[in-house]
Amino acid sequence: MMPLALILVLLVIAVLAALAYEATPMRGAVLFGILLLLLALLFLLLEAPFVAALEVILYLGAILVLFLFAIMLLGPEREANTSGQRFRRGAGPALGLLCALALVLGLLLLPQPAPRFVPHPLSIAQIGAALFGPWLWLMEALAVLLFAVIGAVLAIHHGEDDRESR
Amino acid sequence: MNLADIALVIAFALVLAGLTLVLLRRSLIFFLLGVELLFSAAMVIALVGGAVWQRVDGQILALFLMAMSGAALAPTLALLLRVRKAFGGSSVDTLRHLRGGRDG
Repeated sequence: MMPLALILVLLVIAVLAALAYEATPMRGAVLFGILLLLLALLFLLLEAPFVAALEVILYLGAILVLFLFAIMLLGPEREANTSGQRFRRGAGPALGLLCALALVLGLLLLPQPAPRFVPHPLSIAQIGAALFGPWLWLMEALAVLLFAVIGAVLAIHHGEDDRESR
Repeated sequence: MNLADIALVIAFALVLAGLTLVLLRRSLIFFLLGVELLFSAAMVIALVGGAVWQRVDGQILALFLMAMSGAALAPTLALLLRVRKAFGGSSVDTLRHLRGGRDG
């Protein structure tokens, strides 16, 4: 499991550096999708298969598609050539270098007999019991929040219609 | 170095990349991608905590963060389309006049 985790962290660092370097929104969205798949793999390693499945279903299936819709509606627009661009182009590799440095330092400096991390799979029944037991108020608050989001989006578009009809 | 440490390194990389995207980019789409990366870092840390202490609360917090980021993203993208229609651009520079002052 450890070699897989090491490959995973290097892949995540590579994708993040590419994301910081990329200038086209559509390519950025695709890189974000790859990153979400890698994170789902990490969640599987952390013994959270339910969250990993929801990461693919919700993030890849809903949030990334939302991003793609926004990019399609905005049209292709490359980032303007500003003075900050040169700085940005250096930021991606610098980021990768920093993360690789942190990884190497961690490998070298951390005490090897660290407290053993034994992931213990929690069943979906336990998660459900917690969701609808002590955390029921949280789910209700989320329901109210998502309802308010519908209202907010409607309000944003309502003003637009008003202006067009004038 | 065990799996939890590696996951925390990944969370560190996510925070760093998210801050890079939020602070350095001019495009609002990449700005939003950076915010999503910060949410993802928080999710990773919550799951590591839940796995280390063998509690379900970490996974509950991860699910909550997932719903929160979705709820934050939807009105923001709607506002982004509105900005594009009103000011003709999806860059931070088109919103510069919002800070008021002489160059507004």
